[in-house]
Amino acid sequence: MLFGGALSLGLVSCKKSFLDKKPVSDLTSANNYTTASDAEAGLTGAYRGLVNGNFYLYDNPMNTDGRSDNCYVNGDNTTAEQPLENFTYTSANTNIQRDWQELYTDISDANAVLDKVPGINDLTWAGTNRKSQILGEARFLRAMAYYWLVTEWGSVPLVLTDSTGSNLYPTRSSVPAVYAQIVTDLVYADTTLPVTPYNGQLGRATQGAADALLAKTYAQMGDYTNCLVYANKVINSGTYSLLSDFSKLWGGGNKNNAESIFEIEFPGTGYTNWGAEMVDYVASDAWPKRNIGSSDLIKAFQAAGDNGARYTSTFNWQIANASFNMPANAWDYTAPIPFMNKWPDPAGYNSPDDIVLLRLADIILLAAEANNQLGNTGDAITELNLIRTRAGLPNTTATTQADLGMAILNERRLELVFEGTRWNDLLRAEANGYLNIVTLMNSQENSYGANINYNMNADKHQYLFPVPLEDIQLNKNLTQNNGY
Amino acid sequence: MGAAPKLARLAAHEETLTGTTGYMSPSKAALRPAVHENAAGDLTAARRVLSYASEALNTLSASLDDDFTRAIGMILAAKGRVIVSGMGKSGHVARKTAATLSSTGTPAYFIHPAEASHGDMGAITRADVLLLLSWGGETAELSALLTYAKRYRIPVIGIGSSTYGITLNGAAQQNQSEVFRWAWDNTLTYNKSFGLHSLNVVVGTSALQENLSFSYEYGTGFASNNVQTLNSASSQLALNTTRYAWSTNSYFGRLTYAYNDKYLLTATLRADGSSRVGTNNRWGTFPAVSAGWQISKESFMENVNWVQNLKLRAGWGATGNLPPYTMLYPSYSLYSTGYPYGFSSSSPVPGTVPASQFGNVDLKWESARQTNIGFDAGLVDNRVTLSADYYYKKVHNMIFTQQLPLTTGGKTEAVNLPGYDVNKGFEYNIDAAIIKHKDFDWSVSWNMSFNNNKMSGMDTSISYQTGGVEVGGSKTNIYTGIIKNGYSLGTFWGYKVLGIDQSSGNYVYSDNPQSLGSALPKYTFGFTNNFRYKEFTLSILIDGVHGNKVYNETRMETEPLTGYTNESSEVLHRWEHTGDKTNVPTALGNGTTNTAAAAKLQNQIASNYVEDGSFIRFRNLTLGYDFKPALIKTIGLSSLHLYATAQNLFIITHYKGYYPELNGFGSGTNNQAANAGSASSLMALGVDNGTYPAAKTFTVGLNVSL
Repeated sequence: MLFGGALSLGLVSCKKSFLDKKPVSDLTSANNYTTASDAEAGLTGAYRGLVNGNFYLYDNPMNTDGRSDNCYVNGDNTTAEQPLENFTYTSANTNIQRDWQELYTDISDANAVLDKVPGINDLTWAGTNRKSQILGEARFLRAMAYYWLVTEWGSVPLVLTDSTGSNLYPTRSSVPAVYAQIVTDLVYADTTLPVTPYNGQLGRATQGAADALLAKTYAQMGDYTNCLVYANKVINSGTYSLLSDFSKLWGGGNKNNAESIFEIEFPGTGYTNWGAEMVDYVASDAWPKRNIGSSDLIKAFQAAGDNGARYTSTFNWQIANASFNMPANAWDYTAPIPFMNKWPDPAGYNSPDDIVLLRLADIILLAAEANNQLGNTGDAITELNLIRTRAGLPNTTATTQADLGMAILNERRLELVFEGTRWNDLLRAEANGYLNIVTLMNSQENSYGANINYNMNADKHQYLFPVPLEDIQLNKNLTQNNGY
Repeated sequence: MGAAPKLARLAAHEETLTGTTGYMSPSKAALRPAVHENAAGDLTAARRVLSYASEALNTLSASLDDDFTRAIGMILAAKGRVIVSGMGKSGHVARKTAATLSSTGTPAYFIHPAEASHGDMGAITRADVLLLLSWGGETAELSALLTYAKRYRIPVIGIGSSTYGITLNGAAQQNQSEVFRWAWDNTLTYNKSFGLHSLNVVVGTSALQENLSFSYEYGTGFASNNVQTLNSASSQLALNTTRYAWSTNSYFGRLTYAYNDKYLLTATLRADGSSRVGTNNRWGTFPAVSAGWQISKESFMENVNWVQNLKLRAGWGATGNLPPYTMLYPSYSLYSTGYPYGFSSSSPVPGTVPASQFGNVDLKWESARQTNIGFDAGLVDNRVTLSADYYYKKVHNMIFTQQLPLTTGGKTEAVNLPGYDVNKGFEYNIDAAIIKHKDFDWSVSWNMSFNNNKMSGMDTSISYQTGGVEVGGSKTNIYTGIIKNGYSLGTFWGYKVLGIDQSSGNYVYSDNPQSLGSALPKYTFGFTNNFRYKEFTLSILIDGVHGNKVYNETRMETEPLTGYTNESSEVLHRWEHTGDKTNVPTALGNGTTNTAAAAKLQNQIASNYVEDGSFIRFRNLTLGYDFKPALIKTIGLSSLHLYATAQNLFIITHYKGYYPELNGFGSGTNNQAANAGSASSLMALGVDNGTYPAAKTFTVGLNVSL
C-alpha cells in the first residue's frame, strides 16, 4: 500500500533521532567531561565554589570567632546573625541553612569532578600524573567542606557522588564515619598532590595543604599521634617558613607569602572578597561591622603583654560610623572599638584580600598542642616559643602539661584571631579537660565589667548547629540535633 | 490521501514567546534553588545598589527643573487616571509607582506595554496621562505606546535616565528571537454504512518541531547619533546567543460506530512521543472510549411529547501533558559555565560547576484520566434545553519541578509527582425560552460548575512549596503555596492571624503554618438574560466565582507599617490604643526596634494578606434597537441595528485589591505543576501582584446591512 509506505518512510525511519533533542546551549552530562580541559574546568569551578557563597567570606568568621569569646557578632540582622552571638539560633536560621547548603554545594562541585574525571582518557595526560592530581585537589576541597560540616553540625550525611541515580535522601553518617572519609580523601590528596602547586598556580591544593588539614582533622578527632605526624610533615617539609614580621602576613600586597599553606585567591577583578567590607572599618560606610573584637579578647592581649605587630595588625581601633548593637552596650561605641584588620583592604566590597585558610603558625601551635597532649613537653615549649618570639613576647613560663595546654590555647587565640580557629580550639580544649565552654561563655563580661548573659544551656546543645529546618522538611531521613 | 506538509515561519514577537526577558535557559528559568546560589553576590549588589541609589537621588534632586513642575501640572490637570508603563525592570518600578500614586489618592494603573499593543491600549483615553518609564528610552514596546499616544493626543510624561546614555556616549542593544516551527499532519478517513450500522475510522500521524534561537547584542560608545547600528559602538560590546529545539510525534486512530443513530460508540487510541520528556519514556499511550444513547429515538419515547431530545453519555479517557515550555530538556543534568577562578590571584580561568538541574531520564508524560457521565435534554419543543455532567479526573504522573534536599547542593529535578491530583466536579447549564410572544421574548441561560480538587496518594510526611511572591528590596522568593496530601492545589500555606495583642498592638499568629484556603473556587456561574420588546432588545450577562482565596501581595508592599515605602489608606485604621477594635496592627515605623514584628508584616505569608476572592460581576449590558425593515427599505438598507453596550459595569466583591479576577486565573490546567520554584509559575495560583483590572467600557454602535 503506497500510503502506508509514505508514512513509514517519512517518520519511522528517522523516528529515534527526530525525538532525540539535546541541549546545544547548555553543558550536559552528555557533552561535558570528555577531555582534559573539561576536567580542569570542572576543578576550577570547584575552587570558584569557595568564593561563590557566603561561607568563607562572611558567615564562618561569625560561626567561629563571632560565636566564641573572640568577637562580637555585631550584625544588624536580628533573625540570622544576632542569634549566633546570643546562642539563640534555631533550625530556621537562614545563615545556618545557607552555610549547610553552600558546603554541600562545594561537595557537589568536587563530586562532579570525582565522578567524571576517572572516565576521561586524554592524551595530554600521557606520562603525567595530572589526572590523579585533579582527583587529589577535588578530594582536598571535598574534605575541607566536610571538616566544617562535621565540626559545626556533628554527624552529617556523607554525599560522595553528584548523580541523580544516587541516594538523594541520605541519612546522617556518624561523626567517626565522616572523619574517616575526610582522612581517606586527605590521605589520597597527600599521596597524589605535588609539593608546589600544579603549573605554579598558587591557590591550588598541595601536599602541604592536605597534610595541614589532616593535622587539624586528627586534632579535632582527638588523635594527637596522627595530628603530630602530619603537623611535623608540614613543618619539616621546608616548604613554609614563619615570616619575621607579623604585619607582612596580611593584605593584597602579601598574598601567598612563605607562611601561607592554602588560601582563597582574590584577583580583585571578576570576583572579589566583599566580606572584608562586612568587618572592616571604612570611613565612608555606615554599616554595622560583623566581627568586633570582644572586651575579653582585648584583655587577653593586654594580659599577655602583646602590643606589638601582632596586636596592631590584628585590630584597627576606630570610632564606629554605625551604632554598636550586639551585644548591646558591650563597648562604648562613642570611643574607638577594635575592628578586625586581617583583611585590611575593604575596597568598597571589591577587596583583593585573600582569605588564608591554612598557615604555618597554626600548624606549629597545633604541633605544640599535640606534643603537650602526648607528654612531649619540651617539644611543645619549643614550638610555642617560636610563635611567641615572632610576636615579640618572652618565652613561656608554663612547665606542666596543664599550664602549657592553657598557654598554647591562649597563644592560638592571640595568634589566630579571625582565622576561624577559635570555636574548634575551644571544643578541643573542653574535650581535653581544660575548660567548659558553657562556663566560659556564661562568664563573659563586657567592657564595663558587666556579665553579658549569654545564657548558654548547660546541656551543651549549642555546641552544634541545628540541621536546617528546610532540609529536614525536604528529606525525612534527616534527624535533628539534640536540643533543637 | 491527506499528506499535506505545513510550514509556518513565525515572526518572533511577544505573542509567540513569553518575551525575550521571560525566556531563559531552562536551567536557569525553571529551576531555582531554595537558597539563592549567590547570596553573597546579592548582598554585595544590594549594598552597591543602595549606594548608587543614594548618589542617583542626589543627582536627581539637583537636576529637577521646570520639566518636573510641568509633569506635576499635567498629572494634576488630568481628569482621568495616570497610566504608568514600562518594560522589564522599569516595568516593576512602574507597577510600584502606580500602586503608590493610587494609595496616595491619584487614580493610577499599571499597563503592560506588550499587552497594551495587543488591545489594552484602547483603555487609555485623552483624559488620562501616560507616564512612561524607560532606562535607555528606546524600548520598542514603549515606542508603540508613544505612537498611539501621539495619534490620540494623550499627554505623555517620560522618565528616562538620559545621563546613562550621555556617560556611555550612547548605548544600544538589540534582541532577536526566532521561532521556526513546522508541522506535518496526515490523516486517512474510512466511512462505511451498511443497513442501520455506520462506521467511521480515522488513522493519522502528526509531527511537529520547533527551533528557537535567541540573540542579544549590546554596545556603548557611539561617536555619532547618525549611525545607530552596533558596528559603530566602540566599547562594552556584549553578545549572547542561545538555541533550543523540541519535537513531538504522534500516531492516532479513532473508530466511531453508530447503530440506527441511537447507540453511539467512539474509541480512540493515540501514541504521543516527545523530546520534552525523559529519554527512557519518550512515548505515552492515551486511550479513550465513550458511548452515547439517544434515548429520545427509542420507540417507547414516541408518545412522550414533551421530550424532544434526550441523550445519555458516558466516557473514559486519558490525555497527555508535557512539561512546561521553560523546561525543554528535563532528561539532562546540566552544568553551568561562568565559574572562573583566578589562581595566583591573576586573571580568572574558565570553570564549570554542576547546575541546579538534575536530569530525569525516566520522566513520563503526565496523564489525566477522566471519567464522565452526563445527559443532554431538549424539552417542551426544545424551549428548554438542559445538559449536565459529572466528572472524576485523576491526574497521574503530574509533572513537577521538585526541590531536592539541600545535601545535593540545592538541586532540582523534574519528576512525576508520587500521588494524584483528583478533581471531582459537576457542571450543568439550562437554557430556557420562558416567554415567546409576537412582541415580547424572554430567554435565560444559566450555567454553573462545581469543582473539588484534592491531592491524594502522596506521602503524608512530604510537602512541596510552590508559587511565591517577591517583596521589598531584597526580592527573595517567599513561597505562598503548598502541594500536600489531602489539600487542594493552590492552597495558601502560612501563619494565621489570631488577633491583635491589646498590649502591644502587634498581630498574634498561630504557632505553626497552616492552610489559609485555596485559590481554586468552589463554584463559578454565568447568567444571561435576553429580552426583546418589539424592536428593542436587552441582554444582560452576569457571572461570578465563589469560594476562592486571593493572596493580595500588593498589600504586603503597601501595608507593612514599617520601612520607607508609602502606605495605603488602610493603615489609617491601625491599632493605636488599648481597646481599639481593628484588624490592622500598630505602626512600627522606620528603623523600628521591633524587628521581629516588622519582619513578619513584611515577609511572612500570613492570613492577613489572604482575602476572599469571590465576586459577582455585571459583565455585559447591551440595549439594541432594530429598525423596522419597512422603514429602512426606503433608504436602501436591508437592516439597521443600533446598540449601546456597557462592559464590566460593576463588580460586587469584598476583595480589597484592584480586581479579584487575576491574570492567569483559571488559565491552563491546574495540573501543570510547572516551575514550582518560580514566582511566575502557574502554581502561583491566586497571587495578585497588582492585576490590571478589566476596563469599564461603554460602546455605542450601528450595524448597517445594505
